[in-house]
Amino acid sequence: MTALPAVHLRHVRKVFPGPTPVRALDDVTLRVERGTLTVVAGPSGSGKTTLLTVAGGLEHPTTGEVQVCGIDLRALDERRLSAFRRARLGFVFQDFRLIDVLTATENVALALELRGMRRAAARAEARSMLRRLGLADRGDHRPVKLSGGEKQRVALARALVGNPDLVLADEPTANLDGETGREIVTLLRAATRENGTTVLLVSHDARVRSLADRMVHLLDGRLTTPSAEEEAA
Amino acid sequence: MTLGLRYALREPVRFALTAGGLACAVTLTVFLAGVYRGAVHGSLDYIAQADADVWVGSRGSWNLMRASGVLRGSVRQRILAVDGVRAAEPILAALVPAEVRGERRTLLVIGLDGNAPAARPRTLVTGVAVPREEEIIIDRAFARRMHVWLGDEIELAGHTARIAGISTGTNLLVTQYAFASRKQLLRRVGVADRATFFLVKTEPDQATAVAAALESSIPGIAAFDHATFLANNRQEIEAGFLPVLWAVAALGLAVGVVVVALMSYTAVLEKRGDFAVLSALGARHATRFGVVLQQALTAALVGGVIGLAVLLGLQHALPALVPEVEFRLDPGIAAAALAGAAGMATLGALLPARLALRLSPMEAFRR
Repeated sequence: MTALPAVHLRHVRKVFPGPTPVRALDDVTLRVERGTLTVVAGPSGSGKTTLLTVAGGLEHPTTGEVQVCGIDLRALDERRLSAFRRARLGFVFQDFRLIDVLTATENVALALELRGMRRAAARAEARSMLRRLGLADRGDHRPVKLSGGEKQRVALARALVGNPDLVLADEPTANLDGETGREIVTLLRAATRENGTTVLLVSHDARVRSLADRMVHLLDGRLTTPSAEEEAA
Repeated sequence: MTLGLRYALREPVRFALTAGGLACAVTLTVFLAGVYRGAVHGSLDYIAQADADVWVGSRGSWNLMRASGVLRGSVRQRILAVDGVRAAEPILAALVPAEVRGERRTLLVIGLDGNAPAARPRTLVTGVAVPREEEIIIDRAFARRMHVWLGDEIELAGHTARIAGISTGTNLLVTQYAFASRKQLLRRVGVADRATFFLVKTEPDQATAVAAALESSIPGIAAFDHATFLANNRQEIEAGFLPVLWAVAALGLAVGVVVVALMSYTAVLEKRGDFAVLSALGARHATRFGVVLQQALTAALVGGVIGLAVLLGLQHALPALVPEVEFRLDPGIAAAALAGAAGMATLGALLPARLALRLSPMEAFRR
């Protein structure tokens, strides 16, 4: 029996309507196995982020199927999609997107509190996660007091805390220097190995490719390097 | 989660302006409500405490403040002749100019007969409740306004009257009750034996029947049992006060709601990225709504407390500054003020919360 993939997109199209409709994804079929780190590469405007948001249930495809962790996202209403994201997904954004009125620990704990965990327990777990990511002494700092690399590690901690099934990372290294960027991807890589987390990472940073289990390319909304299996799907 | 509280305190100037706006709205609204309560008490306490089962006036005179006619003094005998009537005490109510050291006010003077067991004022600060010839009982607010006290003299319709008593619960806000001898009052207003009302004591539980019997047996009169007469006077007060009170209170509340809405809306716009992240992370609607509401309620709590502090100050300062305005801040009013502030905050937060809920999580991905 074949294990269910973490992400399975089948013939997904996403068209943004308007005076000149934009076809962001065009017949994309992609299977991402559990516990792997997959990098989606491609030039700006190729549809990378759209692919990520469709896989994360933030946007519905115009046509096609989206299954994440065996769940058909098209069948979920907004409330259930929110619950799904809350329980099963983690997000890393290019601009870190930390909440500046909260400390590093509180930012990480936020993801757990949203799941209903009590504050004290959430903060304890957040501190533990920050310690694992080398930020034990930065937990009480607000984002404004952190370097870019530290901010992204806090964002990573927020995405990884609570062991989500899938982490969706949008250009997580774009605002970081080479070494720090590599460090971040290494941490994501470690999460796949240690916790079985699946990571779908969008990047046009060539330095991250060596750490990926697999890499796919998007161009004008179409996958240009699908696997044989996906072609057959 | 205390995110809303953090956002609120992050911008102290904006927060202070919002709390200040709410404090003004709370102060204005509660103060007016308090003044209204004071005026109602002042207007009705005297009537409520009068020892009368039935009030008899000329036809068309349905309340004390705006009695439209007078009855001959001889009507008393006809009232006493009706079955069930034990006593009938005449009063004459007249608006009379009063002057102290060149400063003029108008008093609603109640002319009393004898010991006036039914109609004399019940709550005295000092002095006597029943004036003799050339004496007058005045309200404490009038005494404070005119800087007079027991033993001082005032000019009443051109004649001198010595203050023999100071009463409370007799302040109508726009004027005050005063009490003088009816005979003397009749002379000063230049009419023969007349009465505005007769305060009638009946046999126990006979008030309604006696009132009906009086109306049917004496032409040209109107008779009301005590509760009806009290309600008539309340209606008169409310007709004068309530529309203005409601209008100003509604304006105050609207200003409070708009102030909160403006603050919350700006805060949501500034933090739209955060709300998008919350949405992307799967935050429930209630959570995001709670963040907006928490900001607004924080401002409401602070604004409400400031408003109460201002009202407490007003309560102490008003007797000296504006003695006619009676305002008392009791726990009920304080609780209503805080509840009102919370209500304004909740209403004001609705539109910004709607914006926060409608923000797309996709905004978190925008660069």
